[in-house]
Amino acid sequence: MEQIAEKNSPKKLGPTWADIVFLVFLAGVLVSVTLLGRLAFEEGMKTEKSKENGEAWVKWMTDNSAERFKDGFKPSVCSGGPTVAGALEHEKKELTKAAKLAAKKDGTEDEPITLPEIPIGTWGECFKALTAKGGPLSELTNAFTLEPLSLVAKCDPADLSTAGGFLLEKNVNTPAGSSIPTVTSTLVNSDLIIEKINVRVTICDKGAYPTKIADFDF
Amino acid sequence: MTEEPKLRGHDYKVEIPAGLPFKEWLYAWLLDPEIEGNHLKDVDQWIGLLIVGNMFALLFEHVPAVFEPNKGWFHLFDIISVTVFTIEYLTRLYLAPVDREFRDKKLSTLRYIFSPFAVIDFLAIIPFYLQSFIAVDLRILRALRLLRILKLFRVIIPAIQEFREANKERTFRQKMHAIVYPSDFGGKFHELFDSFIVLWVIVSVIAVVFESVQSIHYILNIEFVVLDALAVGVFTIEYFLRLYTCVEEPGFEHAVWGRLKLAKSTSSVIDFLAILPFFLEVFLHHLFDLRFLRVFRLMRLLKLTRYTEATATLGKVIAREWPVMAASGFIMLLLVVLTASLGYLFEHEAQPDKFENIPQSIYWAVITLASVGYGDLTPVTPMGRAMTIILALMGIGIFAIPAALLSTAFSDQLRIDREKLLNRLYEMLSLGKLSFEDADIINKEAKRLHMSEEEVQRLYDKAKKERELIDDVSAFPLHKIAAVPEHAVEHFKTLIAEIKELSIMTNREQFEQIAISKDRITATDFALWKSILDIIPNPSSDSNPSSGSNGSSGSGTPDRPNPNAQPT
Repeated sequence: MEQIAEKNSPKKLGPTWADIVFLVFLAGVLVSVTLLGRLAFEEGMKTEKSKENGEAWVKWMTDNSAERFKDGFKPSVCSGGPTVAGALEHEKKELTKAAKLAAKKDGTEDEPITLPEIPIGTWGECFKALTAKGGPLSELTNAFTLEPLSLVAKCDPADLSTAGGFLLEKNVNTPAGSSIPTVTSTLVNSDLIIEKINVRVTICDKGAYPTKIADFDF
Repeated sequence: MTEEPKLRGHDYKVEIPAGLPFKEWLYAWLLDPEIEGNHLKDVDQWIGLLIVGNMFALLFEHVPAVFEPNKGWFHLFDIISVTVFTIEYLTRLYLAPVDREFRDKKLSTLRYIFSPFAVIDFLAIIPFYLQSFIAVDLRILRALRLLRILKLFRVIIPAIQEFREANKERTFRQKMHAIVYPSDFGGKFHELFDSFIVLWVIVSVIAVVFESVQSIHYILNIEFVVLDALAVGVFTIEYFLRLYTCVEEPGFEHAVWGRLKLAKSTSSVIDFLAILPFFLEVFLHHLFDLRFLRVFRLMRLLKLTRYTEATATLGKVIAREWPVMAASGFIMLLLVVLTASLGYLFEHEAQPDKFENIPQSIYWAVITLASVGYGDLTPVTPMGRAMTIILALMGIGIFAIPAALLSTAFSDQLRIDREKLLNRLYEMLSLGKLSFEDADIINKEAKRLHMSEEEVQRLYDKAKKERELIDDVSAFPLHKIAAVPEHAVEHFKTLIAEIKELSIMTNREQFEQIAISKDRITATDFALWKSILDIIPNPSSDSNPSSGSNGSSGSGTPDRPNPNAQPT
């Protein structure tokens, strides 16, 4: 009955002004969602780029995990093994001895000895050497800041400047019977690189949350 | 002969006569759109799902991390899909001569082959077979497989045609309303719209769940971003369409207040919350950590409540039982606080680190009363343990009250709904039988209540019996019959018929003799009896001549009735 009454009443059946305004509004909403979607996509791509950075690092490190223990490995600050550590220690001793002799000769024994900078194999030095101009990973940049890649102490969602950052961690097995099989600790710049360790490469995503790339021996 | 309307439950399946030729029987059983209750809906549903599955397979084939390790599964799925589509195509081809659309035409099979839907079906499968003979570039093959999506048109186009027909004389807004809201004008197109939204809800919720899995999120990060943006696009358009067209809904007619009323409704708030996290995250992600908002995308699941009656029933049940549930909640609260206080009293000294204060003891009280018993906090003092035994036993009873209440209220609600349906049926049967419109309403309601065909029939029989019983006015007290002249006339007729019946069944002569000789009836009553009897032949004298010999006289009637007799 209602249907019949509805059919009989004279009505403009095409779109009214209100309909057109609504359609325009709807189109505007669609455009806005598309633009925002694109924005989200671009942000997502930045995280993808960061992941690619991490994967490039993992690739270089896994490719060179055996090589770096061989003689003549370049960059030398990334090389490992007890011989390298011993050589570095020996070099340090030799330099100290020479400096002391020189000071005795000059009569400045009381003054503190300043040693020339010895390229010590630390994670910080290795990172610097790899990302320095001409280094094997020098092309990599932070996708969020477009600055050269930097090591961060941790991915901190409260500090969004760490987004796109790069985190190197060391996995250490816990004693048998422990509730957790490994303990992970951040590798700081001054940590020596001479030993073979299990490394975790992590990148910080858009929200500065950690995204694990891989665990491997280096 | 007029056709009777049929009552159907949710499980209604039509019975196709077995005497039909196989081809016609198969067509009627599987594909005839005119036969309600055959398997066409199932075929459309499963083919539709397979098409959607193919779309997702096609998407994931472009993700090497997903595709490469699962190549075999993708290939198997492709083979299954093509096999099903091929069977469908060949079946339709085989049944083309009996197809309603082609059976009256010459060269029906050939005409079918060149019909648009058949061409689409053919295009959906042919690339697969072509690759066996011709070396086709994999990318071209994938692009050609997109043609399978076109198969959806087999469902969409008839739905659009039906929708256009039903909405011929309606305005733009009314048409939009018919798409978005359930109405008599929406038809299958509205069902498709609902299915589309439900599909997006399910897909986006699955995406949110899988996003939390690190290994999957690592591989499909960008795909999740795109999927979320698309889902938000769909839900945003749906939200504004609902808001714009709600003025066509009863109770929401006012242009401003109607829309505001809708915006404030629970379902609209859910719709809004389903899209809000996306906008907030895009706009404010550089200011705050808004990752927690992602969990709120799971609210989209609540959108499904619009499509199920279960939540509406739960809402009704809670609203109805609220006072009792609140009372039970209060008792629970009382018990928890009391238990926690006693726990603190008995255990604090023995375990000051665990039962540090009453709020901390509340955790222990709830875990004990709810029979969860994690065991991280346990009483050690004899008094504490004794109390725990009593509490654990009490907890079983007290915590079970709301569950029992809800379950009873649920079955009550179901009974109320069915009684409403019964009353409706009862009203509809006032004319003695159901009209097609009535049957349609009942069928829809039965489907909503998920009643089987047997249950609907039982309800119908009950309503009919009750209606018949109530139509028998003789069961009413006399003053009620007398109040309605129509009923009074009917009752009078019934009484006369009963007197006639009595006269036929009894021995008239003996009846009259006793009536007069023992002063049982008045002269007026006797005259009335005689006048009624005048039109009926005496069966006892005709059929039972021996009875006449038992009578007092040949005429069988006394000369004069007793005027002093008391009326019976």
